[in-house]
Amino acid sequence: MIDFLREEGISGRLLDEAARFAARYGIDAGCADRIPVPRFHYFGREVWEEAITAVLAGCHLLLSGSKATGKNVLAENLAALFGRPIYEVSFHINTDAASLLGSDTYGEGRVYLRKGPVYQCAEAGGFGVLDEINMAKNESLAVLHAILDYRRVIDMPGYSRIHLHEATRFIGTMNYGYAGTRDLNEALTSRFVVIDMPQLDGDGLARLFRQEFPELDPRWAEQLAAFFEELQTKCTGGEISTRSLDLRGMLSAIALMKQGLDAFSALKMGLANKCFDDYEKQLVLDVAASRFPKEISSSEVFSR
Amino acid sequence: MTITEEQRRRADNQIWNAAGIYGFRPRIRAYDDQGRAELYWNSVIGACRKHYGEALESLFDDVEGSLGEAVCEQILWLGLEHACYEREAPARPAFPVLRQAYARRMLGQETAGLPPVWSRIWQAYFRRAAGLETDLDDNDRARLEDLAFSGSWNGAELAMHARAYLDKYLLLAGTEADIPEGKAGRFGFIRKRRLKAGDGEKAKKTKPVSNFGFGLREKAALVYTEDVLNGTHQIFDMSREKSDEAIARFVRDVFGTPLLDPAATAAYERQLCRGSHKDTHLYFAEGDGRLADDIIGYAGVIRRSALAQMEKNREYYDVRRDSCRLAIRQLTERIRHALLSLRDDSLVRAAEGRLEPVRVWRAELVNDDKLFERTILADRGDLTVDILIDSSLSQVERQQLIAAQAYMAAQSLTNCGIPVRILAYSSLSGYTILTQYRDYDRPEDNERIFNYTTFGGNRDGLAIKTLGALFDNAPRTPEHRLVIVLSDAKPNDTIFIERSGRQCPYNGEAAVDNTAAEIRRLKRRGIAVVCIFTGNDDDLPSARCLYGRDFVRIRSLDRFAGTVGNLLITQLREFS
Repeated sequence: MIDFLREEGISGRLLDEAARFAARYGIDAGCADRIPVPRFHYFGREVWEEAITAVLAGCHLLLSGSKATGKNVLAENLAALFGRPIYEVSFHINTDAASLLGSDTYGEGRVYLRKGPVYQCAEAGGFGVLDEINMAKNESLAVLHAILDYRRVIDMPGYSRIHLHEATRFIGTMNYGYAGTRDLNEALTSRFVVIDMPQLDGDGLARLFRQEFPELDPRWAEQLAAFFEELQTKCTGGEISTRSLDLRGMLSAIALMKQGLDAFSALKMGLANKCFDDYEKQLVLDVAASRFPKEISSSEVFSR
Repeated sequence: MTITEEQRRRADNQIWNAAGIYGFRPRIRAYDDQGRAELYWNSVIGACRKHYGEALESLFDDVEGSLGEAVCEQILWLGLEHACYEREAPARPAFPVLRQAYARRMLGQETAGLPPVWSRIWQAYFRRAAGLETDLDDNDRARLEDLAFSGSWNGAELAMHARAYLDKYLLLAGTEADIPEGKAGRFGFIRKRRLKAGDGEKAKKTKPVSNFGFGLREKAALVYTEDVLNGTHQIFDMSREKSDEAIARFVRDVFGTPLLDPAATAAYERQLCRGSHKDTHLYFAEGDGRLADDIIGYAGVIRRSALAQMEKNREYYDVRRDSCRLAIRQLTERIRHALLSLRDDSLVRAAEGRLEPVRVWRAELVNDDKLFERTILADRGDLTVDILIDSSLSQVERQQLIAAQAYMAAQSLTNCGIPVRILAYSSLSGYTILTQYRDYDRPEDNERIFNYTTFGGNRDGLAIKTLGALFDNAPRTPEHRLVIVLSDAKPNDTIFIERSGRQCPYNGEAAVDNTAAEIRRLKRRGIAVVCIFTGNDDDLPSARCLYGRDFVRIRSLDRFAGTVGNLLITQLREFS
């Protein structure tokens, strides 16, 4: 990870401090397997430097950005860089205090606390990823206030009050305006520093595709990136929804091409067919057709 | 051949995509012979915009309205296609394939609308593009060679070469007869037969579709007609002088078929037109788009103007249909999600949660691990929504926008299965008119919102009071009611209101106070009232006074779903 970040041009001072942070805090044997080995790298020097600085300063991060901006990739990359175990919680409308901190359960003749992911993260000094944090009701999130502010404590009624491990950081991700989301209230937002995640540009996309598929011909990697950028522009222009703007789907489409499917069909399966509106699907296919000849074979795309 | 709105929008998207920018109105759109958007040509049109920007605009302006315009444009586009293709093909691997496919479709087809010589050139151009030999004489070959505009030229150079080409060849296409002697060959003179002013107006009102290659092209001129106000303010005042019967007839003629029979209307008047609303009347209209046979005089003029406005509302929405559809889908999803919050909590036994000590013995003796209570969600009652739209003349500039907003809100709520009623209100000569476009159980009537037109003043207090009375008389009472008012928060009516013992005009502070009192009365009954504010900066204090924090301001349709979504969601959460 450090080598990749040096190549990215991230400040050496920040990387040295990150390495010191990783070395300073130990890891319990039980959670060593929670330290992620990222499959994807996040590209973007400025965001990287902001995020590393925030973690070093003891801040919790809120990554705000639209679909396919790499919020979760960055969160995972940060945990890997700082060598901390990761605890991921997907928020939803019914997320409540019990699902975050834990609840009572019974076993071996006694009632005991079944710890939730936030509790475990706080004990282990992990990086807690609060995914789609604005999906939950603000009232449910009030339990996080004491955890995220200067107090850094969890006080469960009936159990002891614990202090967060010094290395613990929480990283919220949110897509403002996504279906089903709501505004975070000011009290919660004030406990984070916020990074507005930019869309991956063509260069970043092409690098991502080639990193994942090294055999991908550079020329076609650029075409695929340009195609994805055109979809981004179309979404921004309000002509299509974000359904087809799906980076995971794009990677799946490239995987399908690698397996021998023609590019057009692969993009149709990976992206266009995710629009359930026929008209919108047609617009996505038009973008694909203006770049990819229907006859193009897998061997041309994967020529390296 | 009719070009559907969907294909038109698709063509725009193809052009915008190739141009890399969205929202501009392309000069032409291309379609195949079935009226489907033609990907290759539209990409060329977009690429032309990307590479040459506005540089070619004056060239097209010169050609437009000129003698032989259709021929000039088609031939010009061949040259532009050549230049764009050279520039774009390296960046788009599909371009050579798309071009070949287009060229193959051209082979053997007549190029309708072109004189024989230019039809030959067009055919030869695409035979060459398809990699085939051409069979042209020297003259034609020269025309073809000169048409190969270079991709290395910039916009100004391209325009210069294009003008030179037109100058050299196009006047030989059988049009010299109209050029004064000695002037033939000058490009400037092919403009001599520009359309007369009257013809120009006709042209603006049509969407000319003509042949283009083997398919069609459409000049993307907007279909605008002038707003017709027809002096409604004048009628508004004049009618005060008329007899009661004449006014009632006038109101009926202008606002269309009555919704309620006279007895029911009279009952509402007895109940509501008192106190602050003394000397006023009510009229409930059906909101249809019919023109009765017996309408004469000025009422007929007004009604016809209203019918024309209904068409404009539909057209405004049609032009934006795709982005509106997207906004409806987003708003629908947001409301659906918010409705999940409208559910009540209930407790069930579970293996984890909050311990229920009295059940602990069951774990040991009967091996039952469900010693805990957990909360699950259950239904929290039904909801109906009333959309109340201000249709006074102060909204005249925003009629299409308001109709579109109301339609989008209604359609999104309908998609979520929420019963919606849509009413508009205005006032005229003492009458407050409530027009019902859609009733709770008539989702198929959503499109009738496009019958929305503006006229007269707005006695907001009486309109809201009447809505309260309609709730009282509703066949069933839902658990929750939400009223969404689309208004500029500027009540204004000719019938005075009594304030502190003296009569004063129904506007300004007096009218706002009266409206605020009626809103409070509704709220006290547990009915939520929110406002989509459509007014200007000056009217913001009134909006705050009337609706507190429960209003949002929308300036353009693209912000509609997000803003209204937030307002609705906040309100739905209040219910829970």
